[in-house]
Parts: sequence; structure tokens; C-alpha cells
Amino acid sequence: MKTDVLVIGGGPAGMNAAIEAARAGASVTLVERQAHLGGQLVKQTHKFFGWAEKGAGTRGIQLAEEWSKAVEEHENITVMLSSEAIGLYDDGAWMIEKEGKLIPIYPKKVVIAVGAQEKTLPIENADIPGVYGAGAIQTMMHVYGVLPGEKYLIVGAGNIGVILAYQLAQAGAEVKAVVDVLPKLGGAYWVHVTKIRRMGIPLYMKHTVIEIKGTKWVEGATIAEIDEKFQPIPGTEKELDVDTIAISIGLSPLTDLMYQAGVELIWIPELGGLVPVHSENMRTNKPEIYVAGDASGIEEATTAALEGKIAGAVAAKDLGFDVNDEAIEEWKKELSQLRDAPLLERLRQGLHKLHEAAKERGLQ
Amino acid sequence: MNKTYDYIVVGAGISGAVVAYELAKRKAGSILILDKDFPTAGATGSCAAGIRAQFGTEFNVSLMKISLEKFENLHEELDYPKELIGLHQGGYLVLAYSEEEMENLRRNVRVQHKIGINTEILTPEEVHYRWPMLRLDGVVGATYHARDGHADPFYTTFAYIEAAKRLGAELRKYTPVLKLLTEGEKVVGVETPDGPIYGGNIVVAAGTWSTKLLKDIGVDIPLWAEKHEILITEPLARFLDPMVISFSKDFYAQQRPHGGFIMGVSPDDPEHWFDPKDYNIQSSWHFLKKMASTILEVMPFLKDVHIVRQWAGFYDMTTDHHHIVGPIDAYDGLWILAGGSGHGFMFGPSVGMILAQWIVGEELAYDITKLNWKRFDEGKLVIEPAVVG
Amino acid sequence: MDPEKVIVCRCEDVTLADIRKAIYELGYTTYDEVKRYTRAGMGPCGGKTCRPIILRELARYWNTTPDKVPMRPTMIRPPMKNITFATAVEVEDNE
Ligand SMILES: Cc1cc2nc3c(=O)[nH]c(=O)nc-3n(C[C@H](O)[C@H](O)[C@H](O)COP(=O)(O)OP(=O)(O)OC[C@H]3O[C@@H](n4cnc5c(N)ncnc54)[C@H](O)[C@@H]3O)c2cc1C
Ligand SMILES: Cc1cc2nc3c(=O)[nH]c(=O)nc-3n(C[C@H](O)[C@H](O)[C@H](O)COP(=O)(O)OP(=O)(O)OC[C@H]3O[C@@H](n4cnc5c(N)ncnc54)[C@H](O)[C@@H]3O)c2cc1C
Ligand code: FES
Repeated sequence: MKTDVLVIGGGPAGMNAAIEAARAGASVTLVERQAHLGGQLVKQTHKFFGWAEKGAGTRGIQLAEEWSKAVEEHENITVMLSSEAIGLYDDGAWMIEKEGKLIPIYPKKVVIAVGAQEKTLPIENADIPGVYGAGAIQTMMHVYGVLPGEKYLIVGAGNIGVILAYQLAQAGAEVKAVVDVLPKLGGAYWVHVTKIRRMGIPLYMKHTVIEIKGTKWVEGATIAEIDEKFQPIPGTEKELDVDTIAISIGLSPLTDLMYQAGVELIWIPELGGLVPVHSENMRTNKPEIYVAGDASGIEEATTAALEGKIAGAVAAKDLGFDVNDEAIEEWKKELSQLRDAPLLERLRQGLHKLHEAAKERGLQ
Repeated sequence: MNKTYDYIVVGAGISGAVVAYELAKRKAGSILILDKDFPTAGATGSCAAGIRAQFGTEFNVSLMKISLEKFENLHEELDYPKELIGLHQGGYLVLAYSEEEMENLRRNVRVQHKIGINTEILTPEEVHYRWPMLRLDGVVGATYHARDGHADPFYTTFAYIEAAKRLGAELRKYTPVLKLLTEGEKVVGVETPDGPIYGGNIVVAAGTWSTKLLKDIGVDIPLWAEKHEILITEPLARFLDPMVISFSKDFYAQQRPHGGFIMGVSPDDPEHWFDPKDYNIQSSWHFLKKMASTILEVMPFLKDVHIVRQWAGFYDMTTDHHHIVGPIDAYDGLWILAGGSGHGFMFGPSVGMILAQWIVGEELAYDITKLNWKRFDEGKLVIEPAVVG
Repeated sequence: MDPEKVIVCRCEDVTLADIRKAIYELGYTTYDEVKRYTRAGMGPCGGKTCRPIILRELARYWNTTPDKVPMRPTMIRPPMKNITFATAVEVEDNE
């Protein structure tokens, strides 16, 4: 199958990339491995934060619906659901697995917008049932309507950990503690922090989990304070009576497809670890490959959507389609406004490193 | 200032590892092993590591008999955990799909019996009785040799290298030989990014990369790289012991000790690459499709089993599908062991040992001198009928 | 925390102690070598889970960041999702 632009991933970034490339006149194929569009947004029943004039007040789920409607209605876009990109082959085919069939796609340009994966915690016993990634718990809760346990320890007090604590408490579960190794809260939005404080959920900063008890199932956990070198301080241990442990120590971009295709990756912890080197126009060292959203560095749905728009428009432009350059500049401006928030200092440091790397390599 | 060595072995695949160890064991002198990447980075690390004595010439069967004996005692000889070397002798089951093919197998078996390799000839019914899970449509007969099998290519190579190091050999990883250094009619060392390293004898065991290294000093050998692909499945409980192969259908498939099935099928019309700059190691979906349809005919039970990974490697082909071994007498002190042609892993332990004997002037355990580099020019090819691909 | 009990690679059952032994005692100091020596990363998930942890361990050894740890591009291999043989024969190649 041939297409001008292949967009991999149907989250906020991918949907917006598809819309803009199609709007410019390119034929677009959007592949999404889930049975529905929306990406991480479908897990978000809380009121959306971030995007003051456009999105705030709306719930993530609603935004996802709006975008996916726009995608499905556009005649230039072919949407393939339950379709996963499984690799790049020697004849230039991006192979898609769709419900027991393989479909090679030969695109002129590719936008990789596959999102992120949760980081795992290398600790003893972390592989027994009862220890889950935060995302898995959210999926169980929101998509399947079940709770995996009753008494929770949440490891990691970033956005996701704090929101999860709130959502679990609302759903009637008992959250015994949220721990984080950082001395003070970095990423989490205060609204949510205030909410969980009000609900009486203890938040332990400079703490980590040092022991997971149980053999067949989690039967408890020990947390402890840590020193500057992240080593537990003897005597500070606390035993917690929990049956479920949620790990939310952060996300890292899904980079396997990029790596296999030869996209250069660099280490920027502020953006989630290994990230693809890319320009503000979302171009990479591979002229046919663009990146957008969490896959290009961990941020938010708002920024993912804008990056998607830029990637889609620039890909179409590079193919010779007529694209409104002013719109692209406008999106870039919106991006820098969003990134200007006081809490986002760490993120800005990461982006600075990224832009330096892109400049060094002459990426436009 | 780099040290000077008596022997520099270029390449740490199975070939280089065996030669280095066998030289060290013979106290031949100081030895340096160089690899542009690391041990097993070449064909050895991508291979299926099948080992069989079921060949069709006295020459190959005899060499493989020596190799088998080596493999059977390797853990003791190299003092390495037996379970890591992972020799599993579940046999090779060779299926024949026509009378003519069966006749060839019978002829091979006569040769094998003469050398003391006790291959059995089986009817389709006997095959079905022993391995009822196989679908035998079109099979007219088969041969089976129980001592054939496979080993772990990584640990086998590591074991040789470790043993060589204990005997005093040195290994330098991530050190490519950029050029072989010569003075008049002699090799004197190798050029590396860290400067020249001098040595009186150089053994080129750089797999498919050997061709270019030698060409740069004016030696032409007919050794090229061909892309061959392979895949592995998720682990299943062990239930199929032998490596199952067919020469006419060009496939092999076997279950590994950890339970995954590993298999390959030859490409239809592979390109011949003489220069590494042409190499392309990307996987193809054509292989995936061909492999799946070929193997499902014989192993229908694999239908819903998951393929976990596929990869490509380079067969180290020569005109007559045999190694090139021995002195390259265009230069004093220059030796070669390369070109195993898709079975260089299994022949490594015997041919590598015999080359070491040749180098130090010992009596050869088996005469392999006809595998010299001049045979191509002299029209003295060594022909073997029983090969896959 | 006992490295013997910390599972780094769940697919192949490789512990943190195994990884550190390969790196520090045996000198397998690149990703490719550690993978080949310990089998970590050869499991059905293709190393998605364990690769980041191993790269971090190696980065510590090299005193660098994980992107600078030697690793060959061919280390990440298709198919990136496990597919069945039944699927592999169904290639829709209509152009
Ligand atoms: C609990 C939670 C709350 C959040 N709250 C907010 C918030 O309030 N405000 C905000 O701005 N952000 C929020 N975020 C962050 C936001 O959801 C993400 O930053 C955003 O979804 C990233 O968009 P994306 O398109 O880059 O990736 P994703 O949304 O992750 O989408 C990627 C898509 O790609 C698909 N995919 C992956 N691999 C493949 C493949 N090989 N083939 C085909 N498809 C593939 C995935 O299935 C997925 O649908 C929240 C995140 C979480 C988890
Ligand atoms: C898919 C596949 C399946 C196979 N199956 C089998 C099988 O079942 N049984 C069997 O017996 N054989 C099999 N083979 C063949 C076998 O793998 C090879 O014949 C054998 O491994 C060759 O070993 P080698 O040491 O000669 O070369 P290699 O393993 O290629 O080693 C050469 C080494 O030299 C190094 N090198 C190259 N250039 C330089 C340089 N300039 N400086 C320094 N170092 C350099 C490389 O990094 C490499 O490590 C298979 C091969 C493939 C590709
Ligand atoms: S966790 Fe290591 S290969 Fe899957």
C-alpha cells in the first residue's frame, strides 16, 4: 500500500499530524494499535489542565472525541485501527500488523507519534502480581471498570502518580502513601496535590520503597527516607499494609521503531531519557522521518497536539504541498507559551539541550 | 608503543577463537586476537549453530567426526560450564521429497558409515512413528543421525576465547584492522586506529570481511557475503528433539534448549557482496512469509505460535562452499581461515585446530591442505553435495 | 536491596547480579555483549523492559549516559510485536 504520509500512533500528536498533512492535500494513512483513537487521553476523565483558552475545562476524553471525529471525517485520511507498526523492512516497507494480517506500507514520509512507556523499577519482587504500572491500573479502572486491589502504595509523585492517587481515592480505594525520591514536588499540578492532601493521603518526599513483601501476591511494603545518594537511611523504615503497588516513576519515549529506522537518539533525562534528536520542525536525521508528542520527549497532550500539527504540516510541505507557513509559526509560538509556565523549569532545560543538539547537527 | 606479537589473529568469530586457543595450547608464542567489534559479532553470532556429520564426502564427514568429538568434550577441554556450551545432541532429521533426493541421501549414508558415522535410513512411516507431530506430505524417506545437534554459538566462542586468554593470549575488542601491513614479501603487522601493531604471523579469520582485507594487499579470494535470514519463536515446552532439514526445500528448523524454535530458509536469489560497503543486514518480510509458509507444511503445529524476532546474517560463501584454509603464500607469515559457507560454525573446532597444527608444523589430524587458497585458480574445487542454500 | 533478587529481565530471568557479574567480573562491557552473555533482552518482549535498565547499568560502568553506551543498530529487531506464523503468511501485498 502506498501513501504520502504514514502517521504511526493515534494519540493527540498523531491525530493532529494526520489532520494537518491531509489538510495540505497529502494522502495520509493513520495507524493505531488500539481499537480506538485517542491515545493516553482516553484514560483521562479528570478536567483537563494546561491549555488555558483551548482545552482547559474540557475533559481529556472529550478532546479525544473531537479530534478523532475530525480525523475520521477527512477524505484524505485512511484510518487503520487495531493496527500496529511492527518494523521497517529492507525494501522500505513499514509493516503493519492488523488483525492477523500483515500490510506493508510504502510511505514517502513517516510521522512517528507512538507516545511513551512507563519506566520500571528494578527492585526485588517487582515482578509479582499486585505490582503494576500506573497506566495499567488506569486502564483497568477506566476501560474495564475494575480495581486491582484495595490498599495502595503509589511510587512516584509526578502528575500521573498524583492523579492516580486522586482517582483511586475517589473510586473508594485506600491510598496508604505516595512516595517520591525528589525533595520537593516537581511536575505535579497543585490542584491535584491539594486535592489529595485534602483527602488525607500521606505524601512522603525523599522516600522510596525498599521492600515489597509477599510471594504470590503483594502483602505489604516498606518505605524509607533516602539520603543525597538515594540510599535508604537506616531507622527511617515504615511498614505499610498494602496489597497493590502502583509504579509511576515516569515515562520514557517509545523509541524502538525510531532506533530500528536509524533515527539518532540522545539522553535527556528531563524529557524522559532516550529521545530522538529533532528540530523545532520535528524533522530528524532521517529525511523521511518526523516525530511528535510524547515519543519525541515527554510533555503533555496540549504540546503533543501542537507538535503533531507541526510535524504533519512540515511533512506535507517537504513533499511539495502548499502549507501555510504562518500557521506553523503560530503553533511554535503557542508551544513556547505553554512551556513558559513557572513549574516547567526542568522541562525547559531539557528542551534547551535538545535544541542545542539539533543545531549542532544542522537539523532544520 | 604497541607490543609486538608472534601471532595476530584478525577476527573473533568461531574461526579466530579456535585458532587462537589451539595456538596458545601449543605454546606457539605470544598471541593477540583483534576484533572490530567483539567476539561473535559476525556470522557466528547470527547463526543457527547446527552441527551435523551428515555430509556427502569422506572429506567433510571425517572433519565433522573430529568436530563432533571436540564438541562432545569441549566443556572439559575448555573448562567451561557444560550447560552453557549447550551441546544438545537431538540429531538431524534430513527429509527427502523425491526418489532422486532419497537416492543421494542413501549414497551419503554409505560414505558416513564408512567413516563410522552411524546414520539411520528411515521410511516415512518410521519418521511418523518417532515424530508424529511432523507432517510428511510428499516425504519419500529420511535419514537420521543421533549425534548431530547444536550448541550455543555465543558461549562456545566465549569459552574458546576465555581458555585462550588463560593460556596467555590477549583480546582487544573494538579494534578494527584497517590494513594488513606488508614489507616486500612478508606481512609484518596490522594497522589499527590505535596505531600499528606488529606481528610475525597474521591469521585472517575475519569472516566475510576477509576478502576486502586481502584485496587491499593484492590477494584475491572468491569469498563473498550473502544475506541469509533466520527467526526465533516464543519458548514452548520441549517436544521436538532433532533439527529437521531439507536440502531440496532449503529449510532447517529446530527447538532450542530454552524452548524457542529457530529456523531459516534460503533466499531465492541472494546478491553476492565482496565489499563490506555493500552489505545490507536489514530483515525482509519476504523471508518471513516464505519461512512461515514453508515450515507450516512440515510443522503445522506452529500455526498459532508467536514469532518473537527475526534477523539477518552473512553466509560466508566460497565458489565450492568450503573454507579457505592455510598459508597465503603470496606473503610470508600470512594465514587464512574463512569462508565456512553456511557451516563454518560446526567445522570451526576441527578445521581451526588443524590450521594451528599446520602453522606450528605439527602432523595434521586430517589432511585439509586441498582447501588452500590456490585451488580456485588451479581448478581444483572441492565438491560437496549435501548443503542447505 | 539484594542484586541477586532483583530481576532485570523478566523474559529470560536474569538478575541485576548476573548483569553486574558480566560487566565487572567478565568484561562484557557493551550492550551487545551483555545481551549475548546473559540472554537478557532475547526474550519475547525484545528487551523493551530490560534494555533501559541494562543501558543504565552500562552507562554507570562507562561513566557516561545511556545513549553513549556501545550498541549496534541491529540490536533492535523486527517484528516489534510478536506475530503468529498464521499471520506471517498473510501478507497483503497488493501493489
Ligand atoms: C493519567 C494521565 C493524565 C494526563 N493528564 C493530562 C492533562 O490533564 N493534560 C495534558 O495536557 N496532558 C495530560 N497527560 C499527558 C498526555 O496524555 C500525553 O502527553 C499525550 O497523550 C501524549 O500524546 P501522544 O499522541 O504523543 O501519545 P499517546 O497519547 O500516548 O498516543 C500514542 C498512540 O500511539 C499508539 N501506538 C504506539 N505504538 C504504536 C505502534 N507501533 N503502532 C501503532 N500505534 C502505536 C498508542 O496505542 C497510542 O494510542 C496525562 C497522561 C496520563 C497518563
Ligand atoms: C543465518 C545463518 C545461519 C547459519 N547457520 C549455521 C549452522 O547451523 N551451522 C553452522 O555450522 N554454520 C552456520 N552458519 C554459518 C556460520 O555462522 C559461519 O560460517 C561461521 O560463523 C563463520 O565464522 P568465522 O569466525 O569464520 O566468521 P565470523 O563469525 O563472521 O567472524 C569474523 C569476525 O571478524 C571480525 N572482523 C571483521 N573484519 C575485521 C577487521 N577488519 N578487523 C578486526 N576484526 C574484524 C568480525 O567483527 C567478526 O567478529 C550460519 C550463518 C548464518 C548467517
Ligand atoms: S524483559 Fe528482557 S527480553 Fe523481555
